[in-house]
Amino acid sequence: MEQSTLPVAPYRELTLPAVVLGGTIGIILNVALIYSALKLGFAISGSAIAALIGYVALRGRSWRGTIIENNLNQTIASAIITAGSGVVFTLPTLFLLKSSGTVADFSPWPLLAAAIGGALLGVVLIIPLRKKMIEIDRLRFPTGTAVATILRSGSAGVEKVRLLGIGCAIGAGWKLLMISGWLHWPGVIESDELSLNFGLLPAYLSAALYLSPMTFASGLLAGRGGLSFFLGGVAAWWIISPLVVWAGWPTAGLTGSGLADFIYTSSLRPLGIGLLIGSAAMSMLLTMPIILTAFRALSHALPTAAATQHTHPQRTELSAWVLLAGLLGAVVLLFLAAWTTADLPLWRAGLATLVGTLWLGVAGLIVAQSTGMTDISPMSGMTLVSVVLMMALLNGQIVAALAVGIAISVAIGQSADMMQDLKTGFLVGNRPAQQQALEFAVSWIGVVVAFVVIYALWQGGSGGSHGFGPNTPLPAPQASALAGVIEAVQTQQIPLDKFVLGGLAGLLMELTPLGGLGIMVGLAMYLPFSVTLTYGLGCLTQIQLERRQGYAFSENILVPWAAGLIIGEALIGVGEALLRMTIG
Amino acid sequence: MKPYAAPLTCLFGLLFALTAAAKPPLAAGEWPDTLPHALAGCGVAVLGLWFWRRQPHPLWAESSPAEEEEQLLAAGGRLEPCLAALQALQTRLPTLTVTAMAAELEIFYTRHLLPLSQTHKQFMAGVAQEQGLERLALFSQAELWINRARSAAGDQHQAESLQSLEKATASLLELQRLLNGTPP
Repeated sequence: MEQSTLPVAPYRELTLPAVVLGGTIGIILNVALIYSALKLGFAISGSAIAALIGYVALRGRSWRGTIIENNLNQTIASAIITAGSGVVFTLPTLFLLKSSGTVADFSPWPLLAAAIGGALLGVVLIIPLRKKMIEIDRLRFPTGTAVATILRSGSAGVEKVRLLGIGCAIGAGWKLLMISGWLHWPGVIESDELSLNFGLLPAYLSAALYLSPMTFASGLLAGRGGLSFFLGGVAAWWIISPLVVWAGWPTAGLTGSGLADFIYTSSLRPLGIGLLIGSAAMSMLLTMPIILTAFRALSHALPTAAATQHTHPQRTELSAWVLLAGLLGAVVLLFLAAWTTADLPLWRAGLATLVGTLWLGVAGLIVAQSTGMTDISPMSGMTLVSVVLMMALLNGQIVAALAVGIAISVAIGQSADMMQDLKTGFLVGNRPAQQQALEFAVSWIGVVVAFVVIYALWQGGSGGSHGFGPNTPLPAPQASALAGVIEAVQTQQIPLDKFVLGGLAGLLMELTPLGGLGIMVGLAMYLPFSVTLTYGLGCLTQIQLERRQGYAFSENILVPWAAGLIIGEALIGVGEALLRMTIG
Repeated sequence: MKPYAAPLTCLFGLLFALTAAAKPPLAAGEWPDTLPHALAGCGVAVLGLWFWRRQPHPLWAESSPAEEEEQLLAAGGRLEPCLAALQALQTRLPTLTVTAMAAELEIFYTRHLLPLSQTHKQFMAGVAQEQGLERLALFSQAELWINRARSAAGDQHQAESLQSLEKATASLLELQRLLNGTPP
């Protein structure tokens, strides 16, 4: 039998090329995605593109780079990009409020400190959550799984590469078709949605499919685990919505899509936010002992195992002291930001910091679990609640509330996206401590880049201001919406009744023997039904295929194909963002 | 009482509560006049929930104590062939080319590790939470090292792959010891 030769060089992991490449990709994509978020209103994950570039640049033809090295490159890039996306939905709001005269001039430094604090808190948060969501609950994290498929594509066999390629081509081709507008068909295909009304069903049933291969693929990857999300959407739109109409509760005279919009914005979405908060709070209470025990169990078990087998014990998690230091540092930054941006008593700034940090844990759990199950993050809803909460605690001081809001937004965004990277790391066999240390080290870069770009874009407007916002080429839809919410809070127009009652139902749902029910139903009510339906179609397809073909088919055929769909759509999305940035 | 009565009562109560809560209030900042209905729905849900959680085998729950006992026995049974296959693989791998080694690892992953991974929570069954999580942590650790071995083999790095497999075996042996209740 042929003997192989052992390479003399150590296995490549954290190398200078990986750090430089990850940093460069992270900064470039951060700029592009900030521009895209201000233009289109949503951010796109850059993990897949970082992994693909890494695949070519690090492994290349010489085949020297390794899968773990590429995973670290992608982790660095993603940490930088994600931190920026947390800033872009919040900081521009302050500029818009300043231009409307709602707030006076403000200094960027406390805001920057808060955002860096948020970046650190985000990393602190994901470390205990990783054990629960990746090792215990085994959530799918569709993008994380897709990226792992790219990283391992060179070694996973020809068949898997072929399936990945086919999926990627379909995802990319479909996204291009949607962007081109060729499929636009008034009344049937509009705004990336295929209407299923057929002129027969009432609009308040919201029967439409979101034509996104990525969403369908996320359902394929989730399978049975995503059913509660799908059923939650069905209950919201096919039971609650018709009952609301039947009872005559909507404003008189509303019909068609106006009626559906009313039910969504004034009832289902705020109730969904309440459900998310209530169920996450209960989930936090129920799982805190598990998270703490998991830490203790790991620290006891591994030295024993290593000692028994005389293997080299390697730290797989960051030390608790590093976590504590990160937590304290971040909390101090947050406190200073809240205290220095407004004329507040010390106790009030301290209370806001304490509540903000606790809320961050709850919100982080919500977005991480939602992303783990569905790939969809309810980040804008959580940011909205954060700002409302902070305005209440900080006596209506908008700048101080937004300073803490920026921190929370950055942190919860990271808890979702970094968890995807940690999932990828688990699937390719990377040590989490290595990834977490890198995330600690580089995520602040994304915040600084985001601040510089947003300030530069604002000052690029006529007369050195108004570079983005309504009636400009960069309408900043999310920031405009948040500005609208803040103005509504000032006039007491927040649907607090829905948040409280939804929260109560969420607490109860989380107590049922069905794990994670509240968060999934809450997310289904929070999102447009078209997304839930497409996702549900993916879940049902996976369940049927697995029933007929077995789980090996699901893992070996469906996973690479679905990963390809996700990557294909993501690549075209990033390409579109870059193109828009170039041509303006 | 039928086993589905309690869960359906709970879910119906929640649906009723959410429907009542969906009514927009007359003025912003006020409560809708359906508040008593929403609270009554929550009350019904609490009642259903109480009976649901008291069921010996809660319907639709992830597991029950009796099932956990069975799972615990099954866990030990399933781990043994996986461990034996891993140890056999370990002795065979150094004689193979790295490409063949990568292929063998993929076969081992699909045939032996994946089925265990799909039912990983069985390692937590029937024991106290701390013990269960210790077992799960060991299994996850083994899975991570096997994933690393697969990656390293794909990277043509035989030494790293073999070293990772040693660590995976160590973790699985420790897990087996815990499942069998033998002293260290």
